Order: sequence, then C-alpha cells, then structure tokens
Amino acid sequence: MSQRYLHALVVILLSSSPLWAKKFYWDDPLPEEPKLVNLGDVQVRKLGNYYDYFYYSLATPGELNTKQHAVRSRAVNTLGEPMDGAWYTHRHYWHPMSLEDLARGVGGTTPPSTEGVWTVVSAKTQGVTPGFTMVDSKNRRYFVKFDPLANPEMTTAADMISARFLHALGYHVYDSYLIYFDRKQLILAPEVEVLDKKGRERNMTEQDLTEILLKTPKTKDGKYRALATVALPGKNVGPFLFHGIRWDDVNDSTPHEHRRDLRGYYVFCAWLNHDDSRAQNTLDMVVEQHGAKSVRHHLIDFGATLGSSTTRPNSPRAGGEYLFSWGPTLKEIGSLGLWVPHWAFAEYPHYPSIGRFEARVFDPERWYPEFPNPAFLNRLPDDEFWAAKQVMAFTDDQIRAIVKTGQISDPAAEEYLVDCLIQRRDKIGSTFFAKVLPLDLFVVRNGELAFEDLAARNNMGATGLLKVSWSRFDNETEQKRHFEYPEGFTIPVDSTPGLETAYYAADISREGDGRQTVTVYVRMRHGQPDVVGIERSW
Amino acid sequence: MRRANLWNPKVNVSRGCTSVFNRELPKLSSRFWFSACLPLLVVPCLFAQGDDSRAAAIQREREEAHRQVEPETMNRVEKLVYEVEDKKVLPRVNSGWNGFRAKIGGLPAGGGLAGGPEYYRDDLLSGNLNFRTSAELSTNLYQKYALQLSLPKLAGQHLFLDFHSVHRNYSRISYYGAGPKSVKEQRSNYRLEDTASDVTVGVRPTRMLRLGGSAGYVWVNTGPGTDSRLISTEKQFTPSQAPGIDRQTDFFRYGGFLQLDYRDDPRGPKSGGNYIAQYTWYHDTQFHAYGFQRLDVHLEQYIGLFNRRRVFALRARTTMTDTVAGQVLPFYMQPVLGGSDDLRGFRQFRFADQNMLNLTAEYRWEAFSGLDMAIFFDAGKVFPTHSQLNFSHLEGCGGFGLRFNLLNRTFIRMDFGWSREGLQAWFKIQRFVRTAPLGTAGAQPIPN
Repeated sequence: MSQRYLHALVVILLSSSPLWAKKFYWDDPLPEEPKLVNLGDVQVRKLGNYYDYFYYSLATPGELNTKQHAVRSRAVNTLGEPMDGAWYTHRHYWHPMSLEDLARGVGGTTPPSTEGVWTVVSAKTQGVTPGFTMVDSKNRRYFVKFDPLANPEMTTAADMISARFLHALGYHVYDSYLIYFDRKQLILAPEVEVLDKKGRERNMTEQDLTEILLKTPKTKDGKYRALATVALPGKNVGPFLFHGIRWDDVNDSTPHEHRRDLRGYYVFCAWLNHDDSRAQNTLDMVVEQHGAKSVRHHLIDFGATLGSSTTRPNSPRAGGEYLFSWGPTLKEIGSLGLWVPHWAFAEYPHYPSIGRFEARVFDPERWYPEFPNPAFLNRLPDDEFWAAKQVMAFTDDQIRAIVKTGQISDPAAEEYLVDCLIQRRDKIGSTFFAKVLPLDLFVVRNGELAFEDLAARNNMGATGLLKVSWSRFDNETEQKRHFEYPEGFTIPVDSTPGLETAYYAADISREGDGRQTVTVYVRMRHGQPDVVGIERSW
Repeated sequence: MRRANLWNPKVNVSRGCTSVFNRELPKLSSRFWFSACLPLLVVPCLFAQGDDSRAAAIQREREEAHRQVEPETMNRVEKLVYEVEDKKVLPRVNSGWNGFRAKIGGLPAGGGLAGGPEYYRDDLLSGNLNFRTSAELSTNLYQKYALQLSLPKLAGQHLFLDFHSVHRNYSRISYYGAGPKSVKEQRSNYRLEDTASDVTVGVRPTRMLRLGGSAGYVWVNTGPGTDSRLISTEKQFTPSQAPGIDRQTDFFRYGGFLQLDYRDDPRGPKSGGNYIAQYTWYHDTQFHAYGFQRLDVHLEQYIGLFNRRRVFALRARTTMTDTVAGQVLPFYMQPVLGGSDDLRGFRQFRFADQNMLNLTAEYRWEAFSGLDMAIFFDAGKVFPTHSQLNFSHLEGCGGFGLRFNLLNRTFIRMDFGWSREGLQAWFKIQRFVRTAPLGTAGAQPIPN
C-alpha cells in the first residue's frame, strides 16, 4: 500500500504536465494576451538585407509545415483568434471602423506643426531615395521620405494607404502624414553628419539639403511632397524575424512561423502587393506600460507596396515570383524562355503615381514575396480564411476612403487603384472562402447558435444547405459523445444534473459534403451558453 | 471495511510495510504520511505552476519556451555580411573616396582583366561640369589614360559640350590581313599606341534627338606586338598588304553626327530604338598619304514582349570608308569585325577591310531577377568596295550568353559563340551593344 502511495507521489511530483490538462479553461476564450512579463535588457537585433535575402532564399529556417506534418497556428485563443497585445489588435472586422477612423489610421492627430520651421537633425544624401529626420517646432521627431523623380506621389501614396489598411487589419504600424512644404520651411541643425556621395562623413550643409530636394518631384504649385512618419514610442531593438522566437523576450513564446497573425499576413501582403514584407521592414520597440517593459512588434516601411518599388515602379515580377527560386529558373532556362510565367501576361496602364499594380492576373494562391518567408509558407486554409475575412470586411467605399489618403492628384489613377484593390479583395475572398466552410462570428442568440455565412454576406453565393451534429464534450478527456438532437442550431438544454459547467460541440458541415467542417464548442455555465471554441477542418 | 487509524501506528504495523518514515519518527502509517505530505507537496507545486486558467497556462508556456533558448548570436558570415552592409562598403567603393574610385574593365578583349583608379566629379559648377580622369592597366599590359570634361546640361540640357583626351597603348592587337578571305593562320599582332584629343559640341532639341559635330587630333604609333605566340604584324605583312605599317602619321579629324534615341532605359534597354549616323573626315597631317572619310551607321532596335521579360535585341551596323584620291586607308584604321561585340564566334578583330557590315540578333529572356539568358545569331562581313554592301557572303555564328544583372544593369556578361572557326568564350564586365561615344572619338576601329 505504502509503495503505491509513494509511487503516486513520485508520479505527481515528477510529472511536468499540468494536472489539470483540459481543452478549455474557465477564462477561455481570452480576448487579450495575459499580462506581459516585465522584461530586463533586450538586445538590439542586427539584421542585414543581403544576409537576410540569401538566408531565407537558400536555407529553410524555422519549423516548416509539410504535407505529413502540419502545425496549426498557435498564439491564438480558443476561437482561433490572435489575442490583442504585443502583435495584434482586433479592429475593423470585429468593430467596424468609420470612414474617418479608417482614414485617420493609428494616430492622425500629430502632423508636423507648420507653426515654425522644421529642423533637419540627420539625413541620408546617398542613393536614389534620400530622406531625413526632422524635429518640428513642438519638438516632435519625424522621418521624412520622398517620391522618386519619375514617379511623383507613387511611393508616398503607397505608404500612406498601406499603413492605414494594415492598421485597420490589426497590426501595429507607425503614424504617418503627407506633408507639403517649401524649401524655406527647413533649417539645418548644427553638426548634422552625412555620408556624402564621395564617401566622406562630414557635416551636412545647406547645399546637401538642396541636393536632396533636387532629387524629389515638386507639386504643381511648386511645393515638395513627402511622407512624414512619427517616431515609434519606446526603444528600438531591431526587427523581428518570421521564424523562431526572440530569445530575450520571455513574452514571445510561439515560434513566429506558427503565429496566425504572421501566417495570415501573407494574405494582406498579397492584397496590397507588399512583396517587400521582409524582416527588415518590421521593428520591435521596448515600451513601458503600467510600469512594466515589454516588446511591441511593428510593421514599418510600406513604400514598396501596391505598384511601387520605392525608387521605381514595381517589376512585373513583383508578387508573381520570388527574386530567385529553383523551379521557375530551371523552367526558364530549360525552355529557352518559351515557358512564360503567368505574371508576365499582366497589363499595366501608365499611371506614374501608381506604378505597376493590377488585378487581372493576380492570383491570391500564387502570390510571392521577394523571398521565402517561413510564416507565409506555413499558412494553412484556416490562416488564410482568418485573413481573407478581414480583407472582405472592407467595403468599396471604405477602400476608396483609405485610397483617398494617398492624395493622388490624377483622379483616373486613383480610381484605377481603387478598382484593383476591390478586384483583388474579391479574388481573395472567393479563393480562400472556398477552402474552408466560410462561417464565422458565432454567437448564441435566443438559445440558438447563430453565425454569419461570409460567402453569402459578400455576395459570393451561399455556402449551401448545412447540417449540424451535436455532441456532449468532456473537457477533461476531450472526448465527444454524439447524441441525437433534431433541433438544428438550437442549443441543447443541459440534461446532466449536478454539473456546474457542461460543454457541447456542434459539428457543422455542408449537406452531403463532410470534408469542410466547423466545430463550435458551446459552454453551458450556470445555464448560460457561450461560444467558447471554434475549430475548422478541410 | 476497516478504516485505518492514522494516529495509531500499531494498527498498521501488521501490514508488513517497511516504511521509510517509521525509524526515526514516531511510528505512523505510510498512509498517514502520504495524506499529510500530499497537500504539502502538491499545493505549492500547483501554485508554482499557476492557477487553473488559460492565462496561467500561457505563462507556463512562455517560461517553458525560454527554458532552452540560447542567446541569439550572429555567425561569422552573417557578421561579415552585416558589417559590409552597415559600413556601406559597396556604396563607398562605388562612389569612391573623395572622388577616387576603382575602374574595372573596359579595355578591348585580348587585353586581359583591366583595372585602375579613376577620379570622377559630377558636382562641379553646381553639378553642371563633370570631370573624369582614369588610368588603367590590364594583365596583358594594355594601358589607357583618359581625361574628360563634360558640360552635359548647358542651356537647360539642350546643349552639351565634351572634351575627351586619351592615350592608349595596346601591346598585342591582332591583325589577320585585309579582306574577307584572310585566313586564321595568318594571325599576327602589333602594338597600337595612340593619343587623341577631341571636342564635341551638340544640341538636343528634344529628349530623343541629338545632333552635333566634333573635331580632334590623333597621334598614332604602331610597333611590334608583344604576344610571343604570334608573329609580329610587320613580319607577316608588307606595307602594301598592311598600309601604314612602315610609317605612322597623325590625323586631324572632324565630322558631324545625328542620333535618335528612344530606348526605355539606355543603360539596360528592353524596348525602343537607337539610331546613329555620323560622318568623319580624317586628314593625314604629316604625309598626306593616309587621309580618308568614314561613315558609321548604327541601328539598334529592342522589342520587348511579356512585360519586357522577353526581348528581341536587333542591331545593324556598317562602317564605310572612302579614301582621298591617291591615298590609302592605313591598316590600323580599317574597320574590324569579330569578337565579343559583333561576330562572337570569331576571334577579336578577326576581319578587317575598307568596309564592314554587321548584323546581330539576340533573343533574351529573364531566368530570374539576377540573370538574363540570351540566344544570339551574328552575321557580318568586311568588303573592299561599297558595291559589296549587301547580304551575300556573310560570315555567321550563333551561340548563347548569360547576363548577370543588378537593378537592370548588366555587370557581367558571358557569351559563347560558335562559328566555322570554332568556339569562342567571352567574359565581359559590360553589357552587349555598348554604343561608342558620339563624334570623332567613336569613329575609329577601337573606340575610345
């Protein structure tokens, strides 16, 4: 007997798994990340463009999904939603934003003050995309970027528009403004160092500033147009990667290639043609909230989205193929160029303020960033659906309102961009809604399980006749026990006496087609039913 | 069922259990100890692991995930690449230091790998004056020293002025004899040493059109070639076969030119055309024996398909010369054909004569963003009289090539051409169809 007890003790004490392992906890589903742990020192991550490109192109970092072994997205609550926190915030899809809010973006209230001069405190004179950092009369710091000479409005408009879309889609982005100014608005702070085109590091002169402006287009009324982005709050600790975790951030526990918000980012990037969606265009900032330091993960630099490649219009290849990949390259070589990739058939009207952006040959399934991204590669149909439903949440008018913030002076160009975004949105919806059962927004209403058929809501044809099969769900063993219940979506009345909490699972599928299912878990607590979990299969 | 008396050890001794607890402590049953210890051991354990909530589970997951994470470090390669990028090594090499930078390549094929320092300023007179001077030496000891002053933006970019002076000393230029029937086995080599100074002035009435004139003076010297594998030209050919080999002269040259250029990107064209015609007079200022005129016509057309990912690049080029009565065209001024820029299946300068015709067609396609491939066919001939300007008796060759690009700029070109004379492989640090300079500086067999 005593041996038995001792064995039991040993087993209890040595067991690493929690004693209470179960599918749902009392606090599920969590809308927000649990309180973040206060961090100590966080190292500044250094990441080079060249290494980044070769590493991701030639190696396969992270735990990649295979046909035999696919890891479902993590860092989500039991409804399959990323939680509000360091990476993501539920916005437009869940709480529809007004046209004004959409256009305002993350801030919208702190444009550079025009009351005084703007002081340039650092600058980049080299290269074809010069820019500088300035401080306004209210001592606020802004990064200022310009359009290329041959494509006025293109880069700044793309940045403005995409930042607002990505903000509405839930990401942390910077606050940005379009500014128009005269040369006399700028003054130079003393002892600003620049690396000039002759390779010298020296004090910047007024002539350098003039030369920067010479490389930028002017508006019809002779002003310079630029994008001013507000410096993000906190301490810059470098970019985040699309695989692994940040070793010195204890709050970052899910490998990034398995994060839904990063896997789903593929769909948003495809929509906005953000082929430059590499780690270099992300930024981690250590912020302090309620006395605790934590890392907030941001997306930055959207100048190479839509039809822009920042310094020039996009290459026709952009979004159609990686810069390098073995398969297409070997096909191109082997066929002596007779094999023509699909993206080469695209047609682009000549809008210098748009660059190259189109919707006709765009295929959401065959969109590619510049080089492989482990999170994108790992995406599964439920990740795509999660993102597609958010893209589909933008109405035509809402898209138009956000595009307006790009202040594109050619109305035809602006309308073309709106049309492309609408068409691309619809392709995303029809492509990714077809891969899972497109039902969402489950709630219990008047004793019934209610939901939205997103395909029907977006005029893509109703999903069809649905059938539901109810089971009792044992939260401890995670076993389902089917029972006959002919009442359709009406929540079963709890018939298990003495149980404070009971769980039911509703397996929903199309009549005659059981491949795509949505399992909705309903928790009956003190007689009050709540949707507590959603799982999709395909 | 008998219930154990937990406070009376005697009750349980009969169970025959050798309790680990009962030697030094009062004899209590193991059941007692189990019951007593369980809450003491498990409850703290429970608290240590958190409460029964998702938030606690996530917290445990965070700790678990970081238990075995190693600090992030850069490997040596990553560090090196990062430093190169962070220190802006490539832009610094490209832009140079205080105007000084390295110049690589650009000498004729056969000279070997060439390089040297260049001093370049494009910021003089508020960016209106460009200054360039360079010195290059190749592995086969070819030398080139150049000085250039340009005012490309006069009169609101409608007027341009250029002064170009160059000294060249190429020690082993091939010469096979004049005429289309020259034989490979007669290959010889000579040293070409010349100094030229030319001034070009032109107008640009529209963005695509340029016309102007230029004048210059060229001092020419030739001598024995240094390639020990080949016979020197003066030993292979007599002065009647290679006019001017026995005595060299100086030329005053002048002429006019017209260019219509509507290529989409002159440094990496994929559509559009570039048409040049120029006429140049050469006056022999010493012997009045080698004066001639030269007409150059250069036509390039690019047809881009599938968003310019497939390009047909076509070029027709002819050079016709005419001598002043009683004078002859010196061998070192004969139009040449063969080599990396025209007949790629033949050796460099394989053919030379009074006139030259060259046709090339390339089909290029993008294999990936950094590499274009090409299939080409080149044809051409040299001929002694103008009446032979036709498409009969053309030499032909075909082949394929690789062009390594960065931002639509070819930085390495490899071509492999096959002809009746075998295979030729070319490795060049420049793109194909590099247009010669406009004006007199470009109106010579080996353009400056």
